[in-house]
Amino acid sequence: MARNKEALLLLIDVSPSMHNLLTEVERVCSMLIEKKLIYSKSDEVGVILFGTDETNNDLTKEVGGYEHIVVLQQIKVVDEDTIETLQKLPRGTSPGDFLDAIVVGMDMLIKKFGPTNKGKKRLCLLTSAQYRIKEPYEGTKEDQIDMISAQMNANGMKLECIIVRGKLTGDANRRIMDENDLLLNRFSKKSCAKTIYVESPTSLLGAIRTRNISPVTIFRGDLELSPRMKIKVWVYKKTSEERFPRLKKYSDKAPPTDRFATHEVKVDYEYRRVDDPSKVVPPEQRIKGYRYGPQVIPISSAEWDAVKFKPERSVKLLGFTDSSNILRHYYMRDVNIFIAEPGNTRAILAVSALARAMQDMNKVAILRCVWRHGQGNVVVGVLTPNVSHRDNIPDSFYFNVLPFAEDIREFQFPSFKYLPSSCQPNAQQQKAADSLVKMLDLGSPGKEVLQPDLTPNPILERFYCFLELKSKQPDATVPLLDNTLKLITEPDPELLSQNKSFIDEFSKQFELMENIKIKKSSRRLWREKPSGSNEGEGAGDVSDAQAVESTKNESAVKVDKIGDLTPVQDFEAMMSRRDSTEWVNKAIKDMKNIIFDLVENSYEGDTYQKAVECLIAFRKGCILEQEPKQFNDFLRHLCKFCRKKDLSSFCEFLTSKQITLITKTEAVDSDATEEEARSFLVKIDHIRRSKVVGRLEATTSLPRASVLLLPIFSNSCAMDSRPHQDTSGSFFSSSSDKLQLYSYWQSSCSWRVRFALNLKRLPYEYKAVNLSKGEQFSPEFERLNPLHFVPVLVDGDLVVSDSFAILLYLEEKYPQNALLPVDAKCRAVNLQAASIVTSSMQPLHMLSVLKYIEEKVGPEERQSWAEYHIGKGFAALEKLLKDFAGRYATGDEICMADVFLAPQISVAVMRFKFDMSKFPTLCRIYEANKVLPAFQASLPERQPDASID
Amino acid sequence: MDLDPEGVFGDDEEELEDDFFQERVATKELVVYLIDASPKMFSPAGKLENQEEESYFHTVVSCISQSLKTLIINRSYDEVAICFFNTREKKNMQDLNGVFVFNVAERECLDKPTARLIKEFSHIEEQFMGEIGSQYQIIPGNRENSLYNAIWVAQGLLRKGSAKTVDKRILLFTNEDDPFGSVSGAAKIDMTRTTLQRAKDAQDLGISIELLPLNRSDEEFNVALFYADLLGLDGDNLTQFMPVAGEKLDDMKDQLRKRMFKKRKVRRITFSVADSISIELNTFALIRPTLPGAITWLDSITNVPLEIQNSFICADTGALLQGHTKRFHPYKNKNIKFSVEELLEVKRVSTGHLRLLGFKPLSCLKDYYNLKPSTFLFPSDKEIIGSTRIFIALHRSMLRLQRFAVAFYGSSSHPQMVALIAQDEISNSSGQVEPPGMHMIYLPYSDDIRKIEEVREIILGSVNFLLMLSFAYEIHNYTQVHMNVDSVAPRATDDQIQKATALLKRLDLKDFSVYQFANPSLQRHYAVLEALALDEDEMPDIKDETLPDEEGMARPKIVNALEEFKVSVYGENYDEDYMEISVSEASKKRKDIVENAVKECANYNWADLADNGKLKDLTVVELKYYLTAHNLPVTGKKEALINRILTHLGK
Repeated sequence: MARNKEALLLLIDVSPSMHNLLTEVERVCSMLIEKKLIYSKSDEVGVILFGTDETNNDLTKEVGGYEHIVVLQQIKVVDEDTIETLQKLPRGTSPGDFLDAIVVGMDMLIKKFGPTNKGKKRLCLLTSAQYRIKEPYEGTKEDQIDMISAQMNANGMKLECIIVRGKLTGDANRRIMDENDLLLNRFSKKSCAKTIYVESPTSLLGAIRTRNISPVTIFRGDLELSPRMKIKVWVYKKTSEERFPRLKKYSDKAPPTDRFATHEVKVDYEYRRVDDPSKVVPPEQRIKGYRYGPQVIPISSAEWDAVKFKPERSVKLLGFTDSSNILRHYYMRDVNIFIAEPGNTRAILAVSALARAMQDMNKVAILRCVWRHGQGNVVVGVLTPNVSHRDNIPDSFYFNVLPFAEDIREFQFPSFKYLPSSCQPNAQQQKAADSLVKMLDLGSPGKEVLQPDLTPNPILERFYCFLELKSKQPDATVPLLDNTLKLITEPDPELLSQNKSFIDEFSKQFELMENIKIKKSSRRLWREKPSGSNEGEGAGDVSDAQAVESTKNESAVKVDKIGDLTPVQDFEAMMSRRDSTEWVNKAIKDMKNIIFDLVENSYEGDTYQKAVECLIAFRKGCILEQEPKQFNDFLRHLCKFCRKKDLSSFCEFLTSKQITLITKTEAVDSDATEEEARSFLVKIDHIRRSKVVGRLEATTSLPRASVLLLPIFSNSCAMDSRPHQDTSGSFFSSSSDKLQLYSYWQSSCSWRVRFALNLKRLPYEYKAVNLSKGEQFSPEFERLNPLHFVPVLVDGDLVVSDSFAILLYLEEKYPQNALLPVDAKCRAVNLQAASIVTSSMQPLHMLSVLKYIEEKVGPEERQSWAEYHIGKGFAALEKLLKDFAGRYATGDEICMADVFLAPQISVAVMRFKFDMSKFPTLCRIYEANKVLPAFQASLPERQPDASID
Repeated sequence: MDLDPEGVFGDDEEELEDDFFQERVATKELVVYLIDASPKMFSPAGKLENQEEESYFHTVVSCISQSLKTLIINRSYDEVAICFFNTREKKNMQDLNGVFVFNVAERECLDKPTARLIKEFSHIEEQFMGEIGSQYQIIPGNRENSLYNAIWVAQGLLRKGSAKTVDKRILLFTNEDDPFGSVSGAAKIDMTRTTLQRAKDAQDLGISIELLPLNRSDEEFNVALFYADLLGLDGDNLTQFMPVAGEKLDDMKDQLRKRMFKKRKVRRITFSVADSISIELNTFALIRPTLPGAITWLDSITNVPLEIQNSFICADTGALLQGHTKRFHPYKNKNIKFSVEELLEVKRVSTGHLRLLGFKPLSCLKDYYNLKPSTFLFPSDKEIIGSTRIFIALHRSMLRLQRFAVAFYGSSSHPQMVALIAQDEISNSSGQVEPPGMHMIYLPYSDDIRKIEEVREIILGSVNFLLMLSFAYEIHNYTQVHMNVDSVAPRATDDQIQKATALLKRLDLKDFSVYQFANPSLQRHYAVLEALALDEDEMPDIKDETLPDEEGMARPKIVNALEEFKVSVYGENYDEDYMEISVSEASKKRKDIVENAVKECANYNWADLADNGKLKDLTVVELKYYLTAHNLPVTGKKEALINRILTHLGK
């Protein structure tokens, strides 16, 4: 038998006291075999049952006695049958005698192996040890155990006793159990045995070592306290994660007839040049590069070896410090254990003295370790004492790696005490939390559950179970997590029901509310459910309305939240709930949020109708409940909000629906008089128009009625860069120092300037020049622009004509909300796009040119001429912007290119009915521009001189 | 950038695990350091340990260069710009007065930090006065508003990138709490208003402005004077906002450094406390190992980066594979196939993210319950209002009752049982040291814990080695164990413990903090890279801070304590005995082996055997007698051994 193969004999108690646990025993034993089949296929296993009805073993035939013990399986190399055997354990009826079972097991091992295979023979006893064992023929039970122990030691056998107690069955006898415990513990003193007490089925699954890993030292040598004082130690890993098995990739290319196919997948790596992917670079031509900022620094392995950090192998003490200086969460990795060199009494004493002194004084040691020679890694870590409570185990240390300064991110978080009072628990809430923390107890002494040492890994358990299942049935589905394993992933229902009152009190004390302003999509994680949960389909199917499942789930029938689908109905249902006054408040609160969301998230006012419906319902509800203040305050706030957020269109909409404040006549408590309510509507209107009116009164040429206009500037903040000029607080000062724009509503060139002025939030005076009436030829205008073209911008003394020039001027003079990006490349693209529009498109289809074509060539040529040039221009633009466009033409911010493009596209579509479908990028950009308030306000039909006939 | 191909053999599961250690690049950050360079900043801020005076300006510059160094190591994809205001010279795109954007060759103004940038910036003070100059810009009668200009320039620098995918920040360093204090009347109102509006416009574009105000020794920085409005602080926020100040200059530096980095949450999770109560938490990776950057392979001739292409090939047929969604595991002589979905399904064992299972006393959390760095949890009310309150209540109860929570963390890639430890806030003169919140410790399962103390087997690796060494012998029944059967392990006596206690007191590191050691190998790694990047000839010398303090160890009192402890556990003549034991045991064993070999060797007539070609009839063990006796290597196959003997015999 090979050196690393073990022989294991399972001694399983199947007597009545074990019956309720045998399912778990079957599970854990088959798992053990499953893992052996994977990791140690040549291990040998035998199974002995005791407490059975029948008797079947060698000893009973040879010497008599040893009743109710059955050798279920002789020791043999693990195979599939063993699993099947173990999964169908018979339930016995006799009280089991574990000592007899051990003797039978030892006999089998000795007969099979003799004195060979020292240390590779394991007896694993699974019992509840609840029945008295037989008195020996001679001597005491203790003597007998000593004898057995001596035999075991002589033959190099190990014994593992797993004593399953947990819920005791009725016929349990404390005295017998105590006696048995004493006997079993005697084994651990006298032989290489250990005893584990298991309280729950879950721990039973974790108690048996299902995989044998031979420990390997990672360091053997001196622990240097100083250059003159060293202790010989061996360092092992104490924890090391057992990972999910690595599965190989499967190839199905091999023909099914090929019985020797491996089905494996090989990976082939090729190094190709980034700039020339067709070129494969051979290994000798490759060099490693390390990144430093944006640079990659090439360095050969040899060079690197010459300069890299090369510490010497050593473990050195830096000093001791209070254990409070090392917080638990600093531990970085899996844990090592330092044990004094075996057999070296002096080293064992030194470790023992230090460990005990450290424990007494609450100190820890700080070490610097380089485990291997030539290894570049230094670790600094903390040594904590592990004082042994068993006489035959020496003291040792645990070692945890600590972080270096580079590994720590010093983020600052607000102090809890400075958080607003809404986040601070009150005394009662604190009390509820205290009792919850106290009562949901998993760690009472002697009864600790979910102890990591005894907790199996539920994922691995599940995987091996699935693997076994699949080996029999290739299309098996993933097995459910049974109740035993569920105790690891979910709270114990028993613990919860015992402490129901505390949990209820806790839930009562705290209120949780879902913030409905957050988009639904981000709430998805509440709907995740575990696979194989048998909670039933109904509970798993979380509908939208129930998305609050995790916050408060009072009842499914009664409406407890206003959903997005039927807010009005929900609101009314909630307002009419009478089981708590809280519902009215909650309904009002939720409704406010819904309305806000609707208004704020509307796209071109698509949700306004719904918002108004909600608002009407809300108003009605507030009158009914006599809560006028709630509504009035909200409405005022909403209007203010809309103005601030460029959503005045909603105010306009409100006015048209005649929704106003709740008056005193409607609700006595109202703070609004009839008049105030009436004027409120006017005020909304007024605010929207005042700027325009104030400005346009000076320009007499236009009728006031056509003043349906323009920049929906945020409250009074149209910032300009000449703030020293408007210290008066009034934003509209005399017209002379304001920008004047000579424009014609249908002119696309004027349009782009209007668009830009709005984007830059520059107020201006609109000077209409009616091109259809030939006003551009008036002497006054000719003085401004001898070319007779609009637009013309007048800024104080300066007159600029030509839209391109105007835009460049604006950009320089008023750099806020810049339209030209800083990045030179992006800037160039913008200028290029602008120029394509102004020089290669617009001039070719301007009114005068078209008229000329019509006259000289023919009326039918007018359209095709325009279409040809527009198409050519757009093709160039599409190509130019394809790689640059983000949300807007050259990225995610609006730029010069947009200003030229959007009006141009609009004109092409509206005036020339041009088909844009060939230019997806342009269409996308146009759509993004279209919704901008600044663009909306610059639309031709929204201009004072627009005449739609 | 590709990882070393040797390192990417891991399958999908492994890659997901890496997620734990690597932050997502999606949260790229663009930062403009906006530094006040007014004459006030050049006044001394305090004294260094060596009594030299240092100006505010110097403090700020050194903190920024330090943070740039961290940035280049940890987050080299972030982009930064450095911009001074209140300067004599101007340099910026907008050509505004009093603002100077600092930059170096081969770099855009807003770009990733380079070695050159860090180097030149850290030496900027030398030429600052000459080349850039410091000057008050906001003075009566002058229309210039340098703060306004500065924010404008910063905003201009941050134009690139969409606000959705990157974080844009302006970090403003100043010790002037009242920038418009020198002007008055309408001019002041005007400047204040325009500047606030400028800041608001920037904030509307998704740029966050953060202030790092420096206290002057004579007066405290009064945020309420102006900056509260600029930052939009009010009420509760205002009280939370504290200017950077410290008794010592080092504290001030500490605080600056801490505040310069933005908190990045790893993810948002829900913590279900009970069936009806789930609260919202954010997780943060406060401690993660920093590793030297990944390797990029280059073409050694052109230094052009190489792209690694891997292709998957069927081992049986050599066919090129495209998608391969199936995995397999050999079991019972069969290949058991799994789909990737099935494997994910196996791992999905829990609802939600974090589920409370119960509480245990802190003493139940053993030192060996650890597998990887912890994760920090902090509550948030963003989606579930009321979360913070519940979190604080539980946090307080857990602290008061000395308990930790056991929970199950059901992440999709690596579900695990965890311990949640409440951490109270710890602050010192340099500000917060440990934030309040909970730390999530990943707990091992039973199969992850090894019972080393109880191990009694011989250690396999060493057995093989010893077998090779003492080929001729049945190895001594080498049952070296840590646990002695039927015997008592030696325990230290009270006297020995007392001596150890005395030693512990002498060797006490009073103010030990995990922040104190830089990783020497990492420091070396980047110092070398920096030197190479800047084409410097000399390799930098990095001090290894982790070495023990030998000078301190040599102090007589410590030497005495050590000596007493040594005598008490090792006895008087330890050093001689020790040498003897360690030397003799090994050498004796070796000597025995050689003696035996010589004896055995004499039984054969080697020359004769060699001549007649009979050597091959001997066993390996017999051959090794000869080799050992003649002090020759005994490794290799039989052929090799025979050849070695023949060579030695001169045949």
